[in-house]
Amino acid sequence: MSSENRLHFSASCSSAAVTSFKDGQSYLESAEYSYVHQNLLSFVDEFGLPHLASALKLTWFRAYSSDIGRWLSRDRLEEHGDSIDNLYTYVLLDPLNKIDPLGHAYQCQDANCSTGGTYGKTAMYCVSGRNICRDCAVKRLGVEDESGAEQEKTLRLFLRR
Amino acid sequence: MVEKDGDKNISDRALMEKIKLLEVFDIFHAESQNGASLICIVVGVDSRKIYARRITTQENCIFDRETGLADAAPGESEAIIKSVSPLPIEIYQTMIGLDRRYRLGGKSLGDAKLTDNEKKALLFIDEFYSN
Repeated sequence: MSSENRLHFSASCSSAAVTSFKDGQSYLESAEYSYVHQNLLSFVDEFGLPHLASALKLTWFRAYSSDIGRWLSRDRLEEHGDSIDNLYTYVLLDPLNKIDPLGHAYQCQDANCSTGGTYGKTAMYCVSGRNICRDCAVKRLGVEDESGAEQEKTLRLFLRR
Repeated sequence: MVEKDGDKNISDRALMEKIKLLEVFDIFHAESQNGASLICIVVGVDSRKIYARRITTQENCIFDRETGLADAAPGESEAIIKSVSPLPIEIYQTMIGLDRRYRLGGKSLGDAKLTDNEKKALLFIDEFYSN
């Protein structure tokens, strides 16, 4: 497994279930999964119910350590924001009050979209009857030269409901 | 300023009364649960519903005349009328022009570009309805 350009490999127990990940350079454990019941890994859903033995929260694609308050690896989709790398555009820059429980973004329908679609990564805007991502909306509406705050105000009027 | 519940109920009641006065070509402001801001123009009214078009996206929306609520189609979020305050006449005219351009003009993404006047009007509207 490779993340952040570092090689990790897994260690398995006799039942072939993965029990830990080790850093390929230092051979230190980067994540450890232990059993709750005999020979059963307690995989949990994306909402991250706590793992009883190791205090790791296991989601489908990565583990979260509540001890250190960090994910142990990077999101495999990678973080994606707008042209200034703001990571909260998917909640209109208001992560304390707004959520995106469904990952409610759609494939960008702008043929010239440089990112080739941003499923689940940004809010989507309806321009000329098409659903397009934030960067494309900024370009198509011609508000590239406006300040970030002004762009947000204008884009809210084109946001899909 | 903290708004007391009683004051809020009064202002809600006043808004509901004003919603019933909406007529064709009036412009009003609604907000959806996901934070989208809807500037809508009334295209029809009957005893129970307000038929409106969202100017910027040209979506059709149907609002309940009693509650100000718009039903959500699958994949959409509910919206509710927040204000029916009349816009200044020059802003109103710019919005009517934008509606006409988006409705009758070209439908390609290249035709969506906003003019300076339209940009100013949209920024004004955001400020106007957030007060």
